[in-house]
Amino acid sequence: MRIALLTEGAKRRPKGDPLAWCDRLVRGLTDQDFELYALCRDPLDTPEGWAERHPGVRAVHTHPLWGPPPGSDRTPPRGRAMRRRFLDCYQELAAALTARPDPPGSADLADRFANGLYGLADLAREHAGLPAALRSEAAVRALEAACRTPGADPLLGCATVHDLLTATEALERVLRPLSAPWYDEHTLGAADLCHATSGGPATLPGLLAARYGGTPLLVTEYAVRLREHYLDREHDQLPVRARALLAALHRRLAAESYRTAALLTPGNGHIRRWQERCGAPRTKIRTVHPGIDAGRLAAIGEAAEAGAPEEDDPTLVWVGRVEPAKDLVALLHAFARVRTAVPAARLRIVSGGGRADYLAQCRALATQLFPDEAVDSRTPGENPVTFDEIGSPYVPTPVDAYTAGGVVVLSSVVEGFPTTLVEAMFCARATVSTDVGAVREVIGGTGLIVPPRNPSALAEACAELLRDPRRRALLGAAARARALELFTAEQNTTAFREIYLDLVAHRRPAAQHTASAPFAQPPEAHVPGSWRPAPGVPGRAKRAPAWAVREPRRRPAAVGALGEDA
Amino acid sequence: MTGPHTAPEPVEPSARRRGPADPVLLLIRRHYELCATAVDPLEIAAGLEAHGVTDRTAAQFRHRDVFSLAEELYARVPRATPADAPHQEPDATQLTPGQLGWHLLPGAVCAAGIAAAHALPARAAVIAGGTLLLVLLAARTALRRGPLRAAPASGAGRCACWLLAFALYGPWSLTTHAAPLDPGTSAGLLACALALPPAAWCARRFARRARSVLAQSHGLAEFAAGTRPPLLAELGLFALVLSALFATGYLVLTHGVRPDPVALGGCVALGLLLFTARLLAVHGLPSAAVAGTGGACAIEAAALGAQLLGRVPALRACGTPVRALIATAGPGSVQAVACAIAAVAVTGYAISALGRASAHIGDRAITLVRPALADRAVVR
Repeated sequence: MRIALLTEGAKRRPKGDPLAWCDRLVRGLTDQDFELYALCRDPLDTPEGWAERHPGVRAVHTHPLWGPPPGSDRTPPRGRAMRRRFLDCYQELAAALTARPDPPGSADLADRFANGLYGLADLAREHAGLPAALRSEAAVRALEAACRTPGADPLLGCATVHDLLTATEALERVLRPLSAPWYDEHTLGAADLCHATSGGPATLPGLLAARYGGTPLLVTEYAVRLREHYLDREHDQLPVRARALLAALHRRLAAESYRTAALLTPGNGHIRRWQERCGAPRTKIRTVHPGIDAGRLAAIGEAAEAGAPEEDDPTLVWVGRVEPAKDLVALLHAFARVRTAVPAARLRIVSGGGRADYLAQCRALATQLFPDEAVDSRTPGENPVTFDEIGSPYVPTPVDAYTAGGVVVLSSVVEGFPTTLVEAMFCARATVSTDVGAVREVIGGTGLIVPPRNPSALAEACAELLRDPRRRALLGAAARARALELFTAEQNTTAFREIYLDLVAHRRPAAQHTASAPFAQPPEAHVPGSWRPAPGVPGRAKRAPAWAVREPRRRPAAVGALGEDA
Repeated sequence: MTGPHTAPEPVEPSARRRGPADPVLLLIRRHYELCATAVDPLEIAAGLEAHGVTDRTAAQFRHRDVFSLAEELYARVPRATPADAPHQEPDATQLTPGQLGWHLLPGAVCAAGIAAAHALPARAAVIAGGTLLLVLLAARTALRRGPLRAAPASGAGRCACWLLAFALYGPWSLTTHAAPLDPGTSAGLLACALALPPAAWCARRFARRARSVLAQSHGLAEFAAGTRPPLLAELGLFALVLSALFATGYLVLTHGVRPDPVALGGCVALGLLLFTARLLAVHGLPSAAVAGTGGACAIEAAALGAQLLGRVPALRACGTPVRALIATAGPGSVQAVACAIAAVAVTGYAISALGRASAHIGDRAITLVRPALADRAVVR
């Protein structure tokens, strides 16, 4: 099958690589043809070397969302009729954006938004220059008029020219994928499936492909794009009314993509709740947990289970990025209480990057709470709390961090999908974690859960596990079994393979074909994928000559198969 | 929006029992800034979640989930009206000393060329050509930085080259007796080259004025009305500076003879035309700029063609108007007329076009890309 991966921003970020799981997906599904369509948010934000690294990726297309529009789009479409048509569509869009956040008749507004959006897309498909039109004086005027209409959000009523201009420019950037050169029969038109790797603007090309070619759209969200937009610090600089308009665009876009998508695959229940809130129908949602490359982690877990019971090691381990959201202060306070119950207890904090000032603050608190101590009068003392960094000689790799102790602790106040927790589960470690984000869903009874920001409950749970090695081993084994069942990369890949097959099998012919003449093109006429040899052939198979490929595709597949049999 | 100005505070364990009758009030007090600046309930929900409020916390406040709690907060907290004057944005079009140096370079090159031509009068035509070439190269380098930086447009450079070349060689080619670097033309070229720093300064002043009008005005019509006076003021100021430069240059070159009004008019018209066209290009209207300068080029080329055709005995009538013009006002009058017509047209267009808000869309720093990155991309 030919699968178009749609992404927005491909750069590696400190919080994680947005393309890391796509990477694993492409490696896992070697028998599919992938094409990457990336929207780049700044000049350095390019998926460099993707095509070279992955033999399964046929092509990488990029479209810039930064800077002025590309060359051919700098002059608006000419002619009075064109201007009128653009203005009609833009007024619909602006009316939907300036309405109150949740008015009673919001289905009507969603339709107006869709009409405006697809009208602009049709315009961009027929004529170059939509970005210039979106930045033109007519667009600013239309936005001003929409802000001043009686039904509009009262906040926008007194928008200044500065607000309007800022909003116009920001809207143009978000809508720029409408004029990307991707909607002909050689690019997205040829794809059997569009897979958007995040919500929001990345789904725009998929929405248009679904409109023009009937290509099914699959939206995977491992972080809620709309929520990220609200929390994005860059938007704090914008004036508040421009921010309101931009937020409205993202909200409507999310609702439209949830409405049009064939299937939504959120990464956990929290994301699922956001999607339902934004209007995603429940029947379309199927949670697919992000997978983790088990590899060495699983080997450690196996050794821990099969090998002799370890000596009783009363060490707590915390692994992760050092940030205030992880609430290490509460962990240190809890550890102080653990020490009163289990005097031999130790705590290892293994940091994988994060904020240096917060780390220093935690170190200072640790030295205040716990003085250095020694077993007798001859040995030098040491602190029961040790701070290490991943990559230091003591902890060369993240895997070594989990082997350093018997119980893994997670003390976060805010958490999305807790990767460190899952890794600890793979290593067959007993865990104590706070009840935030997707923790409850991930741990599912194979570890202890305490309320967030409650050091005494955390201390009690830790002490309980430290005193009871047998329970620790049982919980660890259960956690490992659960992780191997639910959170491996293979599980993720298999789930997506099934979803791909299912969506492509239920694909409907494009609306324009059925509209021109009934039964002109039966659904069987569309043969997904390319006519290439079965997988297992070493290296990349050569494509068949053009005459050999084109001929069978015109005929319905069933007829072709019968002919060959005869 | 909110930010972790402070670390998330621990929830008071007995908020429900001991607090006021309305437990949400406590939450409002804690997240007041978030609630007052939020643009919709979902923003409050996102902010609350970032502060560690979960559905379980929302249940304490008798709400089903964070979303309905956020809706209550959004409804109860009045929206903060943003301050009228937005914070000062970083000035993207600065004129740094380094850039000023580049802007002064064409004037220096031109002065050196004229001095050389005076030293070697026999080679004046060749030296004039070389000087023009060097001035154009220096001006091209200077215009790539500073307030006069614009997106490249096809044809703009060629039109400017033709206009300056005609200013230099036009009188000489229309009449056989004028020299290529007579005081009028050399003072004109020198004034245009020296006017580059004032032009950049005027453009920067106009951009700043427009930005302050932008921040204050509450409607597009108000903005248009507020931009016109500063634009006219800057154009007038530039014309004055240019005239002063020309007069000074002429006086120095001719040792105290009063400047020729036709040459002065031609120089001012040419400078004003080039400046206005560049201003239009800077504000995202390069096609209008090319049309304006191209019109002046066309008039000059037509005059030159008519003059050449007029030398053929059968077509003598063709050259009559040009000859009459030259006979009345001297050889520099063709350039003065052509540039004046084009300058008036371009200025008229600029007054309406630069009053539009969309013309100022690019010169504010909301590119959502760090300026350093954007610069690097432009260089690429």
